[in-house]
Amino acid sequence: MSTASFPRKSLRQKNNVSDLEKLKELLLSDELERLKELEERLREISVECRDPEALREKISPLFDEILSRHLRSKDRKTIEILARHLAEILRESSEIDLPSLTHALQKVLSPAIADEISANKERMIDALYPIMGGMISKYVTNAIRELVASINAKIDEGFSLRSLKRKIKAKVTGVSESELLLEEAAEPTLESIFVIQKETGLLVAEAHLPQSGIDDPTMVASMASAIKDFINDWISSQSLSSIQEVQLLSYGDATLYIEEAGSVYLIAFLDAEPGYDLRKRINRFFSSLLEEYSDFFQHFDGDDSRPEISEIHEKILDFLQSECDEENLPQSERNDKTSFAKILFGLLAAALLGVLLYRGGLSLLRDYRFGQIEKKIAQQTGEHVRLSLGEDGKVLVSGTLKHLKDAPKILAILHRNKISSLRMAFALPVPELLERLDESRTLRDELNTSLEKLQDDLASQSRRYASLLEELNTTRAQLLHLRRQLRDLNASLSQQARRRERIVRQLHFLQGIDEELRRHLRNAFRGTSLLRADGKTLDFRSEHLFHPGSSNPDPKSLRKLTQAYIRYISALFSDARVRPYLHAILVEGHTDSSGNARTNLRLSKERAQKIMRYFRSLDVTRKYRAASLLQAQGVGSSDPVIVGGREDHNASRRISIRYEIDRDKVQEAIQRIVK
Amino acid sequence: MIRKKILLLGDFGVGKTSLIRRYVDRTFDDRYLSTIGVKISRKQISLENELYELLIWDIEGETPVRAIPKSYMKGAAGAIFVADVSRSHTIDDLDRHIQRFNEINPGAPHVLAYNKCDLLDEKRIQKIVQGSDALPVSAKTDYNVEKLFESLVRRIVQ
Repeated sequence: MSTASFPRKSLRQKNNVSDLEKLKELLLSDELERLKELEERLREISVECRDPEALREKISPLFDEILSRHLRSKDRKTIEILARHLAEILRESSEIDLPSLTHALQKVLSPAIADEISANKERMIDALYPIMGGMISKYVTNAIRELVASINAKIDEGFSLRSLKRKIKAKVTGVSESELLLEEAAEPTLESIFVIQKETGLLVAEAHLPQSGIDDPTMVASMASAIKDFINDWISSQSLSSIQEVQLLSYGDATLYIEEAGSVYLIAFLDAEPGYDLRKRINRFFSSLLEEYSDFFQHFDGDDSRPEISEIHEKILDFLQSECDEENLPQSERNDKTSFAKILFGLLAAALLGVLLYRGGLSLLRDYRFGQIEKKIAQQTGEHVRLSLGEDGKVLVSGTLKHLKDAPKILAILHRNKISSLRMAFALPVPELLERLDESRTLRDELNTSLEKLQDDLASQSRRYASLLEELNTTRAQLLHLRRQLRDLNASLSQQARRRERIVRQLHFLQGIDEELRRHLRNAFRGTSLLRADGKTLDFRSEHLFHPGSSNPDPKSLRKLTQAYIRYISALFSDARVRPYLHAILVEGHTDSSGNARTNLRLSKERAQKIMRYFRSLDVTRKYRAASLLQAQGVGSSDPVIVGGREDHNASRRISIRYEIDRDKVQEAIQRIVK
Repeated sequence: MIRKKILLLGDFGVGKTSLIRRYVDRTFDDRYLSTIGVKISRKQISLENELYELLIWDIEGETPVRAIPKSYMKGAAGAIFVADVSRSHTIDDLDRHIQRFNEINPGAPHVLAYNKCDLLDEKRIQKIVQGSDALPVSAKTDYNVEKLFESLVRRIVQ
């Protein structure tokens, strides 16, 4: 509408018009005001239409609403349009803003991986798991999530509609948008981490920051374990099959984030629900613990003195500290880290693609190689077998064997071709097997017969050996008895021999007692002329012992006589055995031939008596108890000393001493011994 | 120090909690028992120059409205089965508890406790205990309580 549409008239008419205008103003003031507003609004809209940014700002809320409605109703067409636009936006964004390798790879790989995962989830897991292991698999899963998050971020960037993502998430998860906004704003603090043995609920290791307020970790671990078990049990009892395990528990201001694997689970205590990045870091840390200590966790028996526990404690503490530091980092540094993580993911994804291609190539090569080996087997044995790779990674050898004897040949060919890890799944020839079975049975029967015979022989031999053993024992007992008798006999013989020797020695002694005494006396008086030639008589003739007619000995000569007597007695009693057989020690007194015979006989007796008494008084006589043996005897002048044909009167007046053996006693002793 | 998880099992009202309260000087908040059906207490015991820490799971007796979660019993090193000596059906029910425990923890040792023996005269208790290897105990008078736990630990460490 425009004011130019009103007709122009003459002045009069002008005035009329003016009046009309005034009338209009009076009558239509409200409408005119409204018209002005509309004109103003129309002008603004015109300007906005020329300014896309302003237009977008105006349309966005409306678009949000429409999109949201369509998504709620799952309008396929809307989704298709959106997907098409999304793809285009992604492509343009990657060309304009993100020339880096990370985004280029994301652009290529993400649809393929996402499609593959959604279409063949199990196959992807099977393919990934053996190659990269549980940890990498887990990491890749997380990385895929990161990729999705990155795509979402791109959508936000493309539309500048951050709220759109939040709205969609709110619709999908059922969490209110305001709560999601709060979650984005809040950065949870990781206060402590517990590693708990799954089955027992025993605390394996833990660490907490000083501000966590946990004062009894053992009890906390046990109670947390019980609570988790309780909830899991309740979930399973309610048949909530879609919920597998409790992963988040909240009470008051605290949140427990639970991750489990193998024989343990890890509980992270936080002051708010952890975001995706933090969960990822916790999971990565948990995976590293599992990788290093899985054996220890499995065999943990409650012994808290194990060195691994303090190691794990240190690792947890380091992790908590690093998370604490991370939380305090400025936002820009965190973004740098996120970018780094994206590059890392890109590299990993590239590695994954490489591995997949490599595996594909390997598979072709392997099939070719297996074909070659199958041909070789057919040529060399005539058997047709098929080689394939089993699920357990071993080479599966299948087919029907014509002859059993070919099996070792096939094995040898496989070994020559470096195939050692294999699993045989042959169908075997039944007739041949039955034949072999018959042979085996016959052989078994023969062996059984031989065995029975051997057992009989063995039993017979055993009986014989038992009998022999019995005989041997009897003989041994007899031998022992004989040996004892022999020993007794030997002892008796030795005793008798000793006795015989003793008797012989006694007989020799008794028979030669006189000769023995003479020998002692000769030895005692060797070099003197005091002992007569008979060897037993001491003749004290040359010392002028008595004066003529006197029976008193000359003192000087008496001393010499005494010495000779002592020597005589000592020699006589030097052998104690002699004493019982001595009959007497005769002390004979002599005179010279002058004077008459009777006087001489009396004088000789006196001389003998005096000397005998003197001898009895001597110590040596008492020592050898010889007093009773001493006897005095006078022989007068019957035995004068003749020197040169004439009597030596001085020498004739003398004393002689000789012993007498008791022959009867000796004879009796000999007879007694002989008896 | 070696930690071991042990269980106290038995019918409702046989005195499991009282036994633990008597044995352990420090107890955890009882609210946990009423909420999730288990109360965990801790006691250190020295045996043959080795220090053990017992984590005693007092599992609430099974009732028609509450079944004992199987997972509570898992990983127990041993168990004490408690009956009320004055209520014979609690003794009869022990077999059922033992069987369930053995299914989950085959080979784990256990001991039997006939609680509340202060309620009956000695002659009658002897007659009831005769032929079983149960230990008469009383949480009220502290009779044989220490011995009960010690005998279980001895069997565990054998």
